[in-house]
Amino acid sequence: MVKKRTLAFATLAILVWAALATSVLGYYYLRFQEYVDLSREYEAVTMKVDIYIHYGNETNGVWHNNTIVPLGATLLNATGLVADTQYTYWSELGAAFIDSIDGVANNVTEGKSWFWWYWETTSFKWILGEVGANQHMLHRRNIVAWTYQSYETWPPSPPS
Amino acid sequence: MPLLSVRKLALLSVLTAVSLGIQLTPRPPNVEFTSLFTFLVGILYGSLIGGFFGGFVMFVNGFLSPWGFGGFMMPFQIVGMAIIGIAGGFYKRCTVGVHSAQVSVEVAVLGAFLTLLYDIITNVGVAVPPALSGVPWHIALIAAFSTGAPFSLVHIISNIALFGSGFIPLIKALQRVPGGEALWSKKELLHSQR
Repeated sequence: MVKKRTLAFATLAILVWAALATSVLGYYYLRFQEYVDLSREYEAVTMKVDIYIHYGNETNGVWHNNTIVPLGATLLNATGLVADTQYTYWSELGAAFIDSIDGVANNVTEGKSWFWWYWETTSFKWILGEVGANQHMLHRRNIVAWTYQSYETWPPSPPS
Repeated sequence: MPLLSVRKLALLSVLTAVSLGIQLTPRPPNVEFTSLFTFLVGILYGSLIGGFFGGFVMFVNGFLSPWGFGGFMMPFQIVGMAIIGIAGGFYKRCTVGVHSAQVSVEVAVLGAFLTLLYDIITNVGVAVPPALSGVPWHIALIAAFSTGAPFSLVHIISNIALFGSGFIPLIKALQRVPGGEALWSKKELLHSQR
């Protein structure tokens, strides 16, 4: 039989836990509301895009859905927000080309490099990007993708 | 106030100085030793002196704290800490002995509860200025409790650790000082004879 004393202290412990958990919940709710208000405030000057990155391995790529980027952001800016990117800017072309994403770098010996794609909403197809990532302006709800694959067979296969 | 022997008075003065010294030393927010010392004083000297001790330490802290002048918060801090001292006096009356692991657990739970009570009282103090400036009371209180939650979490967890691990060694050491009265040993003897 549990002693009354033990029960009293167990009740006290549960009371402390309940009160503390409630106040921590309240804290996170307030923070959540702050972020909701902030995102509403920034809605006029931001947009959401979906970015897919496939690193060329057997596994599926990574989706970065609903990535919030400033209005007027380019593919290069947006990719930089979700991944560690290295790129080279070609001034004669005015274009920046990706050298590596998250440590996966273009490889001449293997004949592999990064390609970018955008989702064409009228034909429901991935279209291969034809300009530098810094030259492709994003719009609200755009879906874009990066794939790391061989350039020895042309055209490269779209993201699957 | 009950009359105290010179040794008891000296010990109380040292404990006050130690508490104030730690209280005024820059440290991580809400990690404090005053509540443990206040609880101990309540046990050693009774509820009245324990309550007075806690209130006094927080009164001085209100003026000299490295976080700045206590202002509206000070009376709430005084009341909150005084309650911890009073609770120490009450706990002394109903304890089961000093050496058992049960006491450590009980004191840790009690420490958590008293710290929660202190935080609730001081959070009411945080809500006073916005409430006086026109914010509805319930909004001011909810905001104070919610924004104070991470601090309460640190406060309660650190006090569970302090009360649970520090109480028995400290009470054992302190009970020897007032002149061999060994309050807690007597208490334990009393319980073992029941």
